[in-house]
Amino acid sequence: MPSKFWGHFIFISYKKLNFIPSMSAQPINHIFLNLDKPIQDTIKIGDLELYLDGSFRPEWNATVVGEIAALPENPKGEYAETVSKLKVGDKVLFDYSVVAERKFESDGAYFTEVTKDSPYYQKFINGKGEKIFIVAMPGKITHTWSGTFSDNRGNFVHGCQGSESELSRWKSQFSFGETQQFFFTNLLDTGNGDVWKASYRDIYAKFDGEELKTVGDRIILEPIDLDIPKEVLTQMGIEVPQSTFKARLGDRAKVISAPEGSDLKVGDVVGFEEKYLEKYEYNGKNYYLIKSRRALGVWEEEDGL
Amino acid sequence: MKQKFTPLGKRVLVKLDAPKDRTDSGLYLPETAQKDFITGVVEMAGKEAENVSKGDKIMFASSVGVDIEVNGQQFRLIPDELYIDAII
Repeated sequence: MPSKFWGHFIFISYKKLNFIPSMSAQPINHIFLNLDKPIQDTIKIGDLELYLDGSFRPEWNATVVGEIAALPENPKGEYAETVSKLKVGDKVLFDYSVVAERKFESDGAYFTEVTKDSPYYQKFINGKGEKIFIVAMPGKITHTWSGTFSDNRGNFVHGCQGSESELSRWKSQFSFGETQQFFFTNLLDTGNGDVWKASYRDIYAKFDGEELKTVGDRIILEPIDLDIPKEVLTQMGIEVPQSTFKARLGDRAKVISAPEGSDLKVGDVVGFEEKYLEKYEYNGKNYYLIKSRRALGVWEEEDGL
Repeated sequence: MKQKFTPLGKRVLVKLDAPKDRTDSGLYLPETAQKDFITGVVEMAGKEAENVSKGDKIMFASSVGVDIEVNGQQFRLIPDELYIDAII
C-alpha cells in the first residue's frame, strides 16, 4: 500500500503484517473479506470531491461493507450458525474494527492519541502498549488536570495532578508523534491480493439486493425522521421550505430486519437506549444496529382512545 | 393519537408511586431511605415475564431500570423481572 500524506505535516505509512501463501488456504476460525477500499477517504460536496487520509484514524473512516472471499469449511462455536447463512460472494456489513484494528511497530515509542478531539479527556498509546490517560475535572475556579502513565500490562507507573501547565510539563517527558509505521492487524497478503480477516461475530448483516438482512443477533433499524411542524418554524422565525427541517427520534426506530425467532417484525417501531446503538452509513442511508437483548419494547399507535 | 408501549422479553413497565416521606406509624423517613427502594404498579409485562402481571404492586431498588414517557406519563422500565424484590 502506498504511503500517504495528511495535511502538511503528518506522514504515515502502513504495511501488511500477515502473509499467507495463496487463496487456496482456507480460513479455519475466521472469514476472509474482499474490500474495494478499506478506508473511506473521499468526501463529496456537490461536484467537489475532497481527499482525506482516513488511515490516520481508521476507526472514523473504516469501510464496513465488503464481499466474502472465503469461508471456513466446518465452522464451530457460538457463531457457527451465522456462518451457515453466508456464502462466498455475499456482500456483508461488518464491524468497523475489522479495518480499524491496528498496531504500531513493536519498538515504536511515540505516543499516538486514540481518543476523539476532546480537550478534557485524552488517551494515548504507543507501540510498546504503554498508555497515557489525561482527564480534566471541573473545579471551583478552573479545571484540575490529572494524568497517569501505565505500562503494557496496565499497571500504574506514575502520574501527575495539578493545573494545566503542571500537567503539560509532566507530559513533556514523553514523545508524541504520528510519524510511525503501523500495521492493519487483519490485513492479510495472499500473494494474489489482499484479504481482510474477520471473526464470525463481526459480521452483522448481508445485502439481499439493496435490502439489508440480519445474520447475527442484531436488529437492523432505520431512523425515523419527523417533519418539524410549520408553526414551530414560524415561531423560530425561519422562512424556508418546511420539508428541509427534520427531527430524528433518538429513542426509537423502525425495524428493517430482525433475527429469526424474535418477537419483532419488519416495520415495528422499537424503543432503545441510544448508548447501545451502533450507527452505520452506507450509500447515503443511515442504519442503526442494536443487539436483540437491548431492544426495550415496541411502540404502537392506538386509534380512538 | 395515543401511543402504546409493549415491553420485550422479561422487561416490566411500572407506574411509579409517589415517594413516601414517612412510615405508616408517622415517622419521617430521611431522604436517603426514601430513595433506596421504590414501589409501583405493573402496567405491562413482557411475554417472557412469568412472576408478575398487570396490576401487581411491586418493590424494587430505585437505581434499576430506565425512565420512559408514554402519552405524557412517566413510567419505569425494569430490564428483567429478576430485579423486582417483592410483590406487595
